[in-house]
Amino acid sequence: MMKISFRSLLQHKLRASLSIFGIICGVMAFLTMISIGEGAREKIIHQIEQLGIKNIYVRAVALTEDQKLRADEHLSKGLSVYDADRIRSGCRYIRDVGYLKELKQSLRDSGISPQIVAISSNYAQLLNISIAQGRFIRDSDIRYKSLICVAGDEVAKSLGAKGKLGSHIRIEDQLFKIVGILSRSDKEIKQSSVMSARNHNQMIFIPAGTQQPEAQTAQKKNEAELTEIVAQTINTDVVVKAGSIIARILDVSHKNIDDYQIVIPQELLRQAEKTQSTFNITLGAIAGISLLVGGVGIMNIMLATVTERTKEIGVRRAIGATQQDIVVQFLTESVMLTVIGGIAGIGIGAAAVRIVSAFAGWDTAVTLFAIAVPLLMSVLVGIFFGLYPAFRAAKMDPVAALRHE
Amino acid sequence: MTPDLIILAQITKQYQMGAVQIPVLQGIDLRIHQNDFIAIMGPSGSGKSTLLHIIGCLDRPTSGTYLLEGKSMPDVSDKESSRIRATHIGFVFQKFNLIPTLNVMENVELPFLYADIDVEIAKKQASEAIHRVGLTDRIYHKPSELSGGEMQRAAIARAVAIRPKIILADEPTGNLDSKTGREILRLFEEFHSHGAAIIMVTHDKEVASFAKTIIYLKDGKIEDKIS
Ligand SMILES: Nc1ncnc2c1ncn2[C@@H]1O[C@H](COP(=O)(O)OP(=O)(O)OP(=O)(O)O)[C@@H](O)[C@H]1O
Ligand SMILES: [Mg+2]
Repeated sequence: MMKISFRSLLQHKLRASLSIFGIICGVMAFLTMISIGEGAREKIIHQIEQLGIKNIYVRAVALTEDQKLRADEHLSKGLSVYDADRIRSGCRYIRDVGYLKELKQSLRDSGISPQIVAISSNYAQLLNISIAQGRFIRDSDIRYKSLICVAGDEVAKSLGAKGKLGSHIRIEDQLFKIVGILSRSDKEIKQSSVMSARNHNQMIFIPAGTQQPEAQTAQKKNEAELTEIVAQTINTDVVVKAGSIIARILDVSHKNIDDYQIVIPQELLRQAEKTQSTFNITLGAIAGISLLVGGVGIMNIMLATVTERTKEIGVRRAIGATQQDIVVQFLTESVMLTVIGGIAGIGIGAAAVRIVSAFAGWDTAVTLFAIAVPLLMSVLVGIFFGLYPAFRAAKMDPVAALRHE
Repeated sequence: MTPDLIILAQITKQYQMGAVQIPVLQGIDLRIHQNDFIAIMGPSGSGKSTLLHIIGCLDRPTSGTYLLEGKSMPDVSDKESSRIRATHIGFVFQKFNLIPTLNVMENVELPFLYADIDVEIAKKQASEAIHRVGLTDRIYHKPSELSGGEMQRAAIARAVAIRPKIILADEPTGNLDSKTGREILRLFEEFHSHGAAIIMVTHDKEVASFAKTIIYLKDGKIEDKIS
């Protein structure tokens, strides 16, 4: 049956290829849409996993000169440990609060320049950072200002023999003993958007308060005490509520100076989904219209085929084909047409998606879902637009069809 | 006396052309036995093809009784009449009417597909029929690669492969030269001797002489019947 249908399609190769053009376009659009959507989703989900879905971040924002003047007037000193404490005590949805300060200090005698950060002891636990060797920074390290540090995987590797547990590294004028080395975090993160996570592989963590005070130049005067506060909520349902409470708390202490920014991973996911859905509606409409036009093309070609083969239909009926047999025959043909179009569209679309992601740097994922959906669509289009021509063929009067020349 | 294979009683057929009714068949009474070989003759437009189509369950009479093996044919469903055409009736046409995209073997196998008969049996009976019409060496040829006589042989193979009780032929030699025509008629004689009832429409007296019974049709009525 399939073979026979295929053979009659081969009779009119050019006509068939032209008629499936619309289907190819439609399927391509669907595949592209889903692949880009899936790619973006995978990326966001990955980032959110790294940031923690229950977490709320408050990040220091560099101020313009104007804002700095205003900040000075209002005595807002930027993000501080005091803010962290207020968040902890002022919002009952918060389970724990940690913080981080990016230091502009460098590692001496090593030739590498990792990012050195001073952190609270709970930071690793809040971000789910896992340790490969040794231990992480503890409360007591903070309290006694222990000169210890924890190195990221890449840092430890590039330090070589000096990067082992127990050896000492020099940050500015102080020696820090390496007490822990992090496990490698799985994915390279592009530091670009507000929501991007830090690349812990390239960092050195020291206990907050052990760092030497930074040089008090005029420029640095407004340097905030902290770069980032991480507040972890008790569960995922209260994240948004907690976010607005934190905003209110900080508004008061910062006197409405926008020297910080609240980043809620969960909210970002929602925003991303929203942008995604606008994008999907647009591309989905294009894909839908293409499929519709393609389907009409298929219907047109099938009607022509049916008329052309009226005699054949009469003969088939004479030698025993039921109306149903005729319907099946022509439906098989139209579905075969659209599926061929679908496969071609998937092939071209997958190539197009690769090219787009290579040149535009978008994250895409040609998943099984991205292939199955357009393929199913092409089958459905074949059935839907093939039904009318097939029924027209089946409903022909066999005698009239036989007399047809 | 063998039982009647087909009984036609007071069969009429009219076509509606706008407001006017065109009577084509006007009361046909006919009994067909399993061992009949009938030629239907008559002027053009007398209703020969129409009668053949009704006998072949391809068309339904406007009124009258049609019993095939005792069963009233005008009453059965499309599915059932299609099944009867596939298994009981073999059509042979003037213009051969092979399916151009299929080769000889596939054309001959087609009735088995519609009769839902096992592929193995279909292949066996189809090649047997092709052998009997002498086309074994053309089995994978497309119709366009065959001569007229070969195409008609292939069409006959398609009609007889399933071993139907009745073979209906509408001017089977009309598009062939007289020598080739005689070869085709000899095939009909052979299948008749193997037990198939044959009803054949023709304009040609010589062709009709192969039949055992000749029926003359005029203005939708049987004018004469010679045995
Ligand atoms: N669908 C139709 N509508 C109206 N009239 C029809 C239709 N089909 C056939 N006829 C008429 O029925 C009559 C009988 O046709 P039929 O084909 O049976 O004649 P025939 O005896 O086979 O003729 P020929 O020898 O030319 O083949 C003709 O006059 C034809 O015009
Ligand atoms: Mg005729």
